[in-house]
Amino acid sequence: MDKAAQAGELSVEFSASGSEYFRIWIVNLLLVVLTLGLYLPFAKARRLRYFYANTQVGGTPLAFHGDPWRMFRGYLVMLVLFGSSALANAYSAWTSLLGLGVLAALWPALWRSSMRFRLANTSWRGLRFGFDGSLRGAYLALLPMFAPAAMLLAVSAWAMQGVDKADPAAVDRASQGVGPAFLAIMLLALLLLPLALWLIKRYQHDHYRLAAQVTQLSVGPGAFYTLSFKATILGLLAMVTVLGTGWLAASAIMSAGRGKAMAAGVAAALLLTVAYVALLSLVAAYMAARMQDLTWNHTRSAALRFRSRLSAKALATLTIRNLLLVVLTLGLYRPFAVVATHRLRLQSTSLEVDAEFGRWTATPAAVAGGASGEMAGDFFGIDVGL
Amino acid sequence: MQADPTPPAQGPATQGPRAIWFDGRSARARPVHLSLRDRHLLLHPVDDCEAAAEEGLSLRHACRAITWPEPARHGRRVILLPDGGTLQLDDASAWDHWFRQQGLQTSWAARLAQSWQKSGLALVVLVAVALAAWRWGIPAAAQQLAHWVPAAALRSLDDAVMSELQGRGWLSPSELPATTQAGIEAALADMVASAYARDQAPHWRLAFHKLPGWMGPNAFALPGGRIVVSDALVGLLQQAPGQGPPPALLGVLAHELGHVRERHGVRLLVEAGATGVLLGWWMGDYSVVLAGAPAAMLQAAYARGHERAADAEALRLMQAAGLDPRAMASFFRALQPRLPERDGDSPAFGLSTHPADSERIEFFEAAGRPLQP
Repeated sequence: MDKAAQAGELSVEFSASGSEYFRIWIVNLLLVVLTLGLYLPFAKARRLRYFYANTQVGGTPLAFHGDPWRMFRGYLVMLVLFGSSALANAYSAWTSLLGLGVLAALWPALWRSSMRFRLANTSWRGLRFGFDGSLRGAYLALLPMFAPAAMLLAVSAWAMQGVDKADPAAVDRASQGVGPAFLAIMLLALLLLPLALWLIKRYQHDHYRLAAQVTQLSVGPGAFYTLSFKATILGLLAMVTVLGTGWLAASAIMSAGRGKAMAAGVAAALLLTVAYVALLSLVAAYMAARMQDLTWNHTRSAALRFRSRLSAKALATLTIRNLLLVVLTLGLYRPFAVVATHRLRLQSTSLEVDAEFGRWTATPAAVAGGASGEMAGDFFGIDVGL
Repeated sequence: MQADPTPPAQGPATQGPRAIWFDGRSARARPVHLSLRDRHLLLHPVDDCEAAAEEGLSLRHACRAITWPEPARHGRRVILLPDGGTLQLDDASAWDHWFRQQGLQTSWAARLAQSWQKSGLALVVLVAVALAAWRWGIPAAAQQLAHWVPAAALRSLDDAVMSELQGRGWLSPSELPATTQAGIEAALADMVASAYARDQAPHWRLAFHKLPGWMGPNAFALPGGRIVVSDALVGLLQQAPGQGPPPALLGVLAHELGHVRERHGVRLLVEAGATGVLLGWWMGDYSVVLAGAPAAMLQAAYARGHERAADAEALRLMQAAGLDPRAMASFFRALQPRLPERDGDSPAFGLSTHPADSERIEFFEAAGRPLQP
């Protein structure tokens, strides 16, 4: 039988090269610019095909089957949706709110159909992946993200009821009255953030499918709270360090006298800003690495187990290196950075299969989602992680 | 597309490239040979040809329905079949050779990306497009957009800005005598009448105010034509007894009128917005802060361009009214010691929104110098 299809550990290799992707990227970019953005879905299909051909699981690459013309149709739908929302935004405060409301109401559905489209068009050994999450599940998963925003709107609408808008003093009084309520809602949103993250990850990782295998996330929200707490502490430390250094630098410059104070002040502010950006990137890299390990090490199906050993130190080093090179090359290093990050993240994972998967067969009628969701996912940078 | 279920020509096709076939229904890998006949790709399973046909799998696919792999140094070549199956090609160079031999081609975009020269050319064109957009495209679009904005909307914008400034306590009532104010207004009206045809003149209205000390001697125009003049500015340019307002003051007002006429306020808003969005898109996924610094520099460059245009308009108005433009040069000289932070010749890190004073002095001096002494 097929020796490669035996049970055991499957490695994940990512073989793309930065210089090769640079050429694909620059040609795509030129075509997108020259067509005023219309080439975007075609560029995306080409990019995904290159990345998938270089993502080899157990020696077999992934394949992307998305039809760029279908993605183009979805893209046009998204353009109309966002265009009319922008128009509504320019017209008046009420239509702006309405446009935002419609977008928010549609967002979970678009998010879900984006995941369905992407997975339904991804295959490995000829088998299509799938995403089985329900529409209701998508709305429930995003509820803690939307609820605080809706509460803020409701409270301000209630407070402004019967207030004469032309009288600034009355408006001031009314907004001061709801100040504590606003603060409470913001605090609630902050406290709910790890839970919201967990709900999103659970919705995703509970519904990935390959053949008859459907994955499940076996970790509760507690671990997400612990991780978020650690990342928050690190972020605060970074802020205190930068502010403290800034305070010391400011007093040193002040005592040095007027002569060069202006130039020294500007230089110090610039350096501190760069340091702050770098420190925050380090914290973000730590969070991303731990999050990848946390979710994928707890994702499994009947016969599949994932393993992720992503070093936070390696990801942080790479992030700083990428940041530096992107700045030095005025952005031209971006494709190299994307390939390097992808390689590190993918190659620290592996799969364990408990069955002889050569006999696995596709479930009948692997459902295909609409292409418009796929493009929407990219619009806001929300994409299937990993 | 259409998939013909009839089995292909029998017999081994030894000359075609080898591939691993995944039929899209099971995870089984099957070695096949490939051949081409009548613009169709034929699959020849190495072991069990009949078995595949019995399963109802197509072994013949129209070339135009197939997605061919793009040549690349890295990664596996994968052919996407129209029935959802895939063909994995392990020997890339053998495949590329055979593919070319059959007279088949991948997309032209893929061929562009294959060569360093052509993708280098793409980079050059991209940079040229970006520079052209910055130099001509964005300013032209901003100008068009600015002229679509109705004048009434701009005037109500002025009112909003004025009440905002008032609310912050920055606009105190002017302490200038009413006759001085009226004299300046009348002189500016004369100037406008001599420089513009009746329907060409922009709508304008002077507003004299006492501004806080840190603003210095100042005049600024709002998009709808309101020109705020500070008492300190009128005080700096003392009116000689018995004469009209000093030429430099009229020059400054003409400069502000130039901003109003060209709708610089709205244009700068559009230009700053466009550069901000584009740079945010280019660098934004790395850092908003890093995208912000170059955006500020590009926006300042647009602002300096508008100042030069307003200076040119001021010069035109002064000449039409028979005033000596060199009065403006003396005005900038007089201004320098009053604004110690205004470091004449070094726009700080390219972030200055005005051209260097020395450049503006030179501009008005040169215009005032008679060509033939």
